[in-house]
Amino acid sequence: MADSKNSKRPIVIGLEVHIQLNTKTKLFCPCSTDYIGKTPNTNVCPVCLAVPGTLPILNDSAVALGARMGLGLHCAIQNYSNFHRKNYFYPDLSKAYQITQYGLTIAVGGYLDIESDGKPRRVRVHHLHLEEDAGKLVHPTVDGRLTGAAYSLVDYNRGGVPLSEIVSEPDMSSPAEARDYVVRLRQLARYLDVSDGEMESGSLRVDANISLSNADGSLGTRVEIKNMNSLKSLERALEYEIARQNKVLDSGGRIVQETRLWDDAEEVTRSMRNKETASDYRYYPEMDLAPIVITDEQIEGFKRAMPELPWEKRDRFMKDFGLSYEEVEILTEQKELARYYEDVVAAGAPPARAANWVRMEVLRVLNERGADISNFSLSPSILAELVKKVENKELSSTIAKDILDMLSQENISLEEAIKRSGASTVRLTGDLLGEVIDRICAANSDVVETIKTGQDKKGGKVKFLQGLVMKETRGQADPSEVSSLLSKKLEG
Amino acid sequence: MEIYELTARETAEGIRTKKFSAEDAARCSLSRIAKFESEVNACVTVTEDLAIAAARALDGRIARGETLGPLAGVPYIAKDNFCTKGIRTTCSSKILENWVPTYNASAINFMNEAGAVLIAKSNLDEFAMGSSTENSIIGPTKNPRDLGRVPGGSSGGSAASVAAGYVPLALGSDTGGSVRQPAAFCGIQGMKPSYGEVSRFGIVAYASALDQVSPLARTVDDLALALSVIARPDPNDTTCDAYCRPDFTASLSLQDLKGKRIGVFAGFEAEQMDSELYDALTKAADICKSAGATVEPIDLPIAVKYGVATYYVTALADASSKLGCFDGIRYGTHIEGKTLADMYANTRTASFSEEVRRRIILGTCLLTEGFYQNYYGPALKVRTKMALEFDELFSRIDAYLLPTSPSMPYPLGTKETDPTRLYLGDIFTVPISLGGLPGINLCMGFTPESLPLSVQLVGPRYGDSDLLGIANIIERAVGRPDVATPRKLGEAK
Amino acid sequence: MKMTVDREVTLRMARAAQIRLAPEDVDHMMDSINDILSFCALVGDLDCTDTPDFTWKMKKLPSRRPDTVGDWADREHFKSMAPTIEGDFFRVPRIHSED
Repeated sequence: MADSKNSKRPIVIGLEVHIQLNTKTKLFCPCSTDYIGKTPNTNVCPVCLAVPGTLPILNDSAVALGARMGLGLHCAIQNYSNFHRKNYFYPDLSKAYQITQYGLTIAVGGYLDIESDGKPRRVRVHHLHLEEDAGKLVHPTVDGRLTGAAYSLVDYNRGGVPLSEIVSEPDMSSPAEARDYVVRLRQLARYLDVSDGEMESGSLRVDANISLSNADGSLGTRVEIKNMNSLKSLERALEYEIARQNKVLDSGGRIVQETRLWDDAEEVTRSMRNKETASDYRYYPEMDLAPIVITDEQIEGFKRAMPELPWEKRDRFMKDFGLSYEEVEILTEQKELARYYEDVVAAGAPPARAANWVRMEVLRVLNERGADISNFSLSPSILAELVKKVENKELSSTIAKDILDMLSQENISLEEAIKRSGASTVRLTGDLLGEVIDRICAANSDVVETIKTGQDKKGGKVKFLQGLVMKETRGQADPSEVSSLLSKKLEG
Repeated sequence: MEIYELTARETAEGIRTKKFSAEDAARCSLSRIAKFESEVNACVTVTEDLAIAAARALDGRIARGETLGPLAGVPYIAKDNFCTKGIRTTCSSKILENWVPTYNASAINFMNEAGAVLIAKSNLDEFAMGSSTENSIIGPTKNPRDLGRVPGGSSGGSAASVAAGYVPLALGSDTGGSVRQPAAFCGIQGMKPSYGEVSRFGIVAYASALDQVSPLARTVDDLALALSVIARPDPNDTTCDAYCRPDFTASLSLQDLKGKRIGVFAGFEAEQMDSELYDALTKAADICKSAGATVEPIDLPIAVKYGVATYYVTALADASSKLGCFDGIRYGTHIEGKTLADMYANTRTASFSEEVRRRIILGTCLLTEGFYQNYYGPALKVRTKMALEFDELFSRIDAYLLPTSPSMPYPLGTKETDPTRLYLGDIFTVPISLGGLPGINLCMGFTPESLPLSVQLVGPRYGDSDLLGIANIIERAVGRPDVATPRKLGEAK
Repeated sequence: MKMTVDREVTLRMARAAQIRLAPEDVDHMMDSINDILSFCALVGDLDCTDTPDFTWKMKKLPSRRPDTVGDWADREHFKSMAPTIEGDFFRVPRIHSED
């Protein structure tokens, strides 16, 4: 596969990202949005089944979450917006029209700053709008063959679930940037509690528009790609499409404006059969719904309720805790982890060491367990105690890591874990440490002899003795003290 | 006086004072239907057992001395596009032939809570598309004033029911004149309230931006009574603006029109209309003058010239979209097909009548790229212009008189082939719908051949209460229309 | 601006509306559409420069629904009113994913 970095033609990518809003009920009816794993057609009511005579009633939370996400994207929240009907027939669309915003949308004109390949980049956001999701089609198999069944089946549990669609300007120039934009967008949605942003479960869906510019700099023909359900497939689909378009253009062909579907198994994009009806959705204003009116007071309220945004937190951590950009990016990726870190620091742990511990050890343990920071059993205050002990040289890092493992597995006190680790909280130092060194040296007189006769040019033998001391003291000794005592002994 | 000749208010009063029971009223209504329905054909479904049961329950509550609603025991009929829980709701269409809703329209709930007793579901032009109530799965409804003529439409079944004395009160839906015009044709009173005054929840919609639940009765007082019951806030309809509940009967105490300014439509040059109806308009204006109002002729150039075209663009587009839900999947008629497209086409082609299919295809066309820019888009702006024209009009006057229909009720089966002329039948009603204004059809008496005359009285949006007061004064001068004994008059001229 | 449809567009509109038009009915439908297009072209005659799209003026601020789950009691009824049910699903003719 061609590497997009080698594309002769400049790449222009714009994304349409749908995120499922984190509401309890659907956009226009009081049915639950919790559809995953539900018996088909149980989260339904006359409104979302389009039973004649019913009318949509707008969910206030969806408006609030849409506005919140819009504010996070630096958009202007509109005092007045409305809904349109997007008309098309498909079994998963009960009304034969989707209620969506078109033209006058809830949030307009914003941007999202990303960092891609170490370079900052600003991706402009054209607008954010609210719309309802469609139901789901199931294609049963007969003897494992999809073509065997005479029927497809419809489940409307997801029909009417609120989505916000975020339409970017075509400001991305590589698949990696597209991925980084989605990652940042997802982080924002999670920070704002607007959506869980899970691509695999479909709470975050990405459609991409991609074109290759012509030699004269003019924009090429745009192709839309759908059906990418992971960050990996987003990147791969874009890579594939760049290679495909370059190949077509190289051979003197023309790019057709079309929608292509990404096939994750075959790793190719395929042209969707062009349906004549699909090209014209016959948008027109939805008069069953009153317009969305958001007063200036309400917008001020939304602003006041905004939490600290990822990049604000990042800057603050760098400034207040003296951490590097890379460290902070990891700590603030999830707001729960950032919160955990802050709690560790608040409990008295030195910020730099705490950052290391959270970044390296806490994430390692969580990773090993496949666990989540929100249900991590080790409390920030205990971790702070542990980190302080390391800082004060009461415990060695090695022992402290063992203790962290123990604490995260078992419900025991810090004292108990320290005891079980075999480490004494009393440090081995001074005369006591000197005794151990004497003992080790006595037991390894041949090595000592080698050193004293000046044959240990590279210092490897000294290191060997140091290691034995450290092992013997089970990490209770301070390495620098071991080193200085050992030097004295060997000189003497 | 027989019970069927009483108004809704008088019926409720009779029951409250135990002159007769709710069951008596229901039975009287049912026997009236039994007597004339084979000729009038106004009802799709008669809910006899449910009505008797409801009436008996009310009688029981009266016997226990309970306080009941203002319409307790009053029999009423609702157009068959109002959803009624457990009662078949067909919209006079094959596609909903056997559909039984699980819920009541809000207006039905409000009527029931007020104690009214549902007697039947009335006939309409399929999905309320039409103005003669001829296009229905149960066949045409006939005008009780002359069985050889149409009752108007699309709420022709409701209008005929009230005129024939089946019930003193009926509910219809008015999209572009669907209550006012049949009220005019059947010689009764009918009112389209301001858009937003009554919840539309549970009305099988034809045009979301225009539909309005509308009462029909034989007196203005009953219209006011009905409106007081149904004009209520409803969490199920966010376009319903009835957040406060004025007493719509309060202005009925108005004794004269001193200080009122009434406009009379003056743009007749280009319009063809039946002379009897022109005379009825003049008579209404004279009544207002005698009652002390200043009356001035006023033209409505934009509304009358552009109203019908704007209305059809808006309503057809909406119909094409709203009727998309009839796809044979979740409810209604379903006809198998090998592919999805076959199933859709089989179901929709066979289950919608030709007129409905035509309107759906037309509406689809009007919303299609290119057509939208030349039709739907401009229509949205013309509507704004019309609204401004109405705002200006009602800054000068309190009410406006104009015809309801340019023509007298016409004979059954008179198929108008020129669609342009057919649509002009709505010329005086659709602008009022587009403006969201309240409009009342008033019966202005009868011709020597006993055909009903009519006039339309219109007020500013949300001026429903004042408008009823003015209408009441005109009705007092003209006299209340009587109950028709359904019969066929001599050859229609 | 007045527009017209030809047979091909008429058939396309019917297909978009999921309604079958018999070959012998196409001309009639086309004429019908052209009649109304001709009549309704009037809406383009009025100068509406700077006129906003129509919306209903409301007395109150439009209300919205609180985000509280409400259970619809009668779910089984939906199945009973559906013409073609398979298990818990509504059933439609086989659809291929690219359709």
